Amino acid sequence: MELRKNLAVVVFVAILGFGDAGLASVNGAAQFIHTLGNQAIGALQAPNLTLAQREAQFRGLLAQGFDLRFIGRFVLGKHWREASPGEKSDYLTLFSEYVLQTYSSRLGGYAGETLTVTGARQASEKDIVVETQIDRPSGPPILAEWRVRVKDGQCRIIDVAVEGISMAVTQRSEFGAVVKRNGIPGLLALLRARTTKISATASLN
Amino acid sequence: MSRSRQPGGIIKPLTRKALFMATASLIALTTLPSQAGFDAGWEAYQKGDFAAALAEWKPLAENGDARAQFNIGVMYDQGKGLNRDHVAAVGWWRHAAEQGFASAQHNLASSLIAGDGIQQDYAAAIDWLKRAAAQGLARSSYTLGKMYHYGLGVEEDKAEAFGWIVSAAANGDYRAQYNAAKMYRDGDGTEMNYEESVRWYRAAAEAGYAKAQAGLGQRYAQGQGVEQDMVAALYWTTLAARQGLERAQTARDDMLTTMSAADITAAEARADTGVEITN
Repeated sequence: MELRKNLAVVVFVAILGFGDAGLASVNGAAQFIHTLGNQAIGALQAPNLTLAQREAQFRGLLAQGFDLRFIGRFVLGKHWREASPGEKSDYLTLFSEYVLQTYSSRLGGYAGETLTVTGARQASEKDIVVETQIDRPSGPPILAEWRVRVKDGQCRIIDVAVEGISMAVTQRSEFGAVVKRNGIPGLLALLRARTTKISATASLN
Repeated sequence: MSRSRQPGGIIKPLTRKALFMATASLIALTTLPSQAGFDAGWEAYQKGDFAAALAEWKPLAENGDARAQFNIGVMYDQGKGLNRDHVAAVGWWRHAAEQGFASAQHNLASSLIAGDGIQQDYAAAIDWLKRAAAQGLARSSYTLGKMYHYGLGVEEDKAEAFGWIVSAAANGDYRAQYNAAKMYRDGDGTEMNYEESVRWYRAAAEAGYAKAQAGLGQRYAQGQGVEQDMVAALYWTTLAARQGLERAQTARDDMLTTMSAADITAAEARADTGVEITN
């Protein structure tokens, strides 16, 4: 029921400005985010798993939906060319882990969380932005916009804006400053530090 | 002069006993409710009820419970149940770190490296990492290895880097195992040793790390540090490719063009069933 209502919004928005091809891709992107989002949230609510295990499942699903290589290169900007092959490989691994961890811990984990597609629009020739609202029993809803690009017939997320702030643009600016100050090794150290932080524990040390 | 000769000598054993009883009662009074409160918080946290977890842990943390302090730091760091606040996270981790809580020492060091909620300070980070590593925390040893490898906050020292990384590898950190494999392969900070390289690639590959699976596949394909075995090579490369590792996908495509149909079937059947190759 919710999906039908959401898709009706999408169809309306799409018909306003774009032809049949645009309509198909806008609908496809909305459906993609709806399915991925609900699968991911479903994984977070799987019974008999620890929160860390549920977040790992959530990460796995997100990994399939994000074009992390594309985002990683965009975020590193002109510094990509300065990195050695080994640094590029380390960077892409660390960046992927960082993005997945950040989003699984920021967007997920709450009991009774739901994701609703509230709209979608053709944002540029290549990209569609799918608007969603993430509701939690406690706390205000989160508004997240997913920028989706279709490549080889497959939808992939290339950016997420939470409350209007683009992840890719924010990180590009932060990472640029770090590379300027501490070089590529400094950026790798920062990503390594953030991705190897220890989560909440019941252990005594 | 022996105190037992004093008139109070008879009282002393009683006093000692009374003191023991009082201490035991005090421990019971302070520990049991605190353990119960911690457990209730942990249960709520696992259910995703972060507000309830915070309500249980906050009084414990304020009372000096290092584990509760650490967990509240994580909640601030990740924005779980409250607004993200790196400064607050660092504050709680520092309290726990100063009490010797290794995970807090590690996370405090991570914040110092990233400059999250605190001024970036590699040297201070290294100090905390060493304290956590001394308590056996493998990921702190691994991070230290990387700091020495790149000369961040310390003089670049590949041999020192290798020492920390191999120590973390031996303690089961799969990233360190993968790095130890590469260092042995390249003679980076240590003597080149293909057999040792394969040993660490295998450890990380068996833990499911895609880059190590690809590396191990390559060792089998080249017969470097292990007897050449194209079925094993394709098996490990396929596992890595299935995790989305691009270079493993390319290597796999290359193998498929040169291997016999029987060998491809054998490798893929193993990859499908998860049966490991032991040779």
